[in-house]
Amino acid sequence: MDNLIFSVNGIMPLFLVIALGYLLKKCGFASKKFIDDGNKLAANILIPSLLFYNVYSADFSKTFNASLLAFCLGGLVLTFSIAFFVARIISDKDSMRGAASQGMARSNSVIYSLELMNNLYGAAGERAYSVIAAFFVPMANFLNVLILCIYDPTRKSADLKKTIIKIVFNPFIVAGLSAVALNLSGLVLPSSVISTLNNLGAIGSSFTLILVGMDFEFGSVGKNLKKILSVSCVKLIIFPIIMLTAAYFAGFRGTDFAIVLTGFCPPTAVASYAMAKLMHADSEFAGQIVIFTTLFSILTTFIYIFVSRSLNII
Amino acid sequence: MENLIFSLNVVLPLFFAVVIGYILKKLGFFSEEFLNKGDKLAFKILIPFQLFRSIYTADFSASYNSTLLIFCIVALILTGVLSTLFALCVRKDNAVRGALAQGMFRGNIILIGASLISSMYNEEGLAAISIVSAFLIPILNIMCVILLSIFDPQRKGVDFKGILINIITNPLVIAGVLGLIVNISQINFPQFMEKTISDIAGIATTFALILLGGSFEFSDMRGRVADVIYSVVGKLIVFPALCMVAAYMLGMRGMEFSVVMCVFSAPTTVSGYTMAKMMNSDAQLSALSVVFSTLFSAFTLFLFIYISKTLGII
Repeated sequence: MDNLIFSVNGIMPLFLVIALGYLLKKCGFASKKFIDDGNKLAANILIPSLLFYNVYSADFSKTFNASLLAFCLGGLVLTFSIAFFVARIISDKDSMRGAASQGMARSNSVIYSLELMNNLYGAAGERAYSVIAAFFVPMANFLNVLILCIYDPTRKSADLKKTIIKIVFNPFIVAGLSAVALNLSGLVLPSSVISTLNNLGAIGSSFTLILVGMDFEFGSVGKNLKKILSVSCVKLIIFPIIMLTAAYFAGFRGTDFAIVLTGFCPPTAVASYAMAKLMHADSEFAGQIVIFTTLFSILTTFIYIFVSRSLNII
Repeated sequence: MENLIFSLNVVLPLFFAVVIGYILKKLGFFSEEFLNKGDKLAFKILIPFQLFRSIYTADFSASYNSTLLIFCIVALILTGVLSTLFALCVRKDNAVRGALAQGMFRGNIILIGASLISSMYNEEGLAAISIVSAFLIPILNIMCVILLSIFDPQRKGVDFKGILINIITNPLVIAGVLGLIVNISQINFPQFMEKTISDIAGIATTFALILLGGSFEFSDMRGRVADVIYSVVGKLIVFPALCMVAAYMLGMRGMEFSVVMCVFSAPTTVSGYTMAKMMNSDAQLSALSVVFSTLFSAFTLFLFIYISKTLGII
């Protein structure tokens, strides 16, 4: 019973905040422009502040775990490579292959994961995950772009350069790496600046989750249904099971195991829609994958937490 | 020195959030539509959630203080009456009188007052100001509707039915009443519900502060300088000083005194602008009062906190 409650507490708040967003949209609180501007605010200011604050205030000597980081980065390379090949089976069109591999391997490993860690282990869990995320997320971004480039039907190498620059100067990466640098150098920021970043960061996940709910659009799935189901199945079932089993045998337990769970079980990243558009992949397909995986992840994540908890792994 | 840092740490994060909102607007991050929809989201959903949460979680036996409540109500009514008399004396145009009086006493209690006190006393402070606000906000609303109706240049008499409907359907009032009901009936939400509510409530302040900064317009000041000075000096210096001296004389200290300070030193609220526009009052003056009182309140609030802290009152 305790395990059930633990799992419900982990996943329900995420679901309910998303549901509120959807409800608010139905009540006329949202519009295309509001969601766009809101996402811009979240992606450029709120989420980077959140990551910066978490990494900056983390105690690296306690929370930094090199073998866990190596495991997670290795897991990314593995899942992205598998996704790359599975995408060739799913479709014969490059634009769809790009969207499909992204859909399978690119997790919503910032908002969803941070919120999940927070629900499970409070602020300490969030910080522990952030330290990994500072490296994990840039890597995932890089692999993602690489695959989208290979599957880019227009093959414009100029875009590749632009995209790489865009990724390097991604506010999220800048925030994460500068926080690592500040943390290690021991420089202390004035506490009013820190509280401001904390305030901005604190609203990041919930605000973005509301936007995710506001952006939900059902219908128009029709012809892609089979492909969407295959992608979701790999994203939410096959990859998490591979990673969790590997993590178990590698000896990760407790928070460490939970970090692997949080890093690899989330649904497909919301940003993948915009990314697909940018890199000439099938963005409509990418959007459908996001909605599907987000919905079903509530169930699958719940099961993963529940099972790991019952087996005393977390 | 310690008091100086304390005061800065209370005031600065709040104003940084406003400044960030202003800068983002200037950088083109926010469209008008985002600001409008966001305002609606903040004031109809998020802030009511925050009020609801802090009231239902409040420990009434510890936070309810009838002396403080009565003091605040009486002081609020007195400041309203004094502002109105002052506006009657210095101006002849009814539209200007309404906006001027409103600007002098309608404080941003729920946003700036509440976030100040919560950075001074955390949850406990928030609970104390929330209970007071649950009563002050409806009263403040009634007073402003009456005031602006009396000074409405196209006066049709005071619409009591309209006022009543306005109060009953005010999301803040509904949230306050619901919070009281849940608190008194001792309903306990399951943990995941509490987490969801606190996630949603947690967005309110910072988001609303960013929007507040984004809505700043430095419109044409010509011919308005005197009115703006009247309203800013009244709102930020004269009334706060009077109320704090009275509170001091009555023996209020510590958090009690801080609640008085935060309620009465908060700058003019944005909702006054919306109401002024709706009721044919001088909307331009209202907008200017909001901008300038918010800006200067950074100094006055800092001073009030610093002085009270140094004198050992808080």
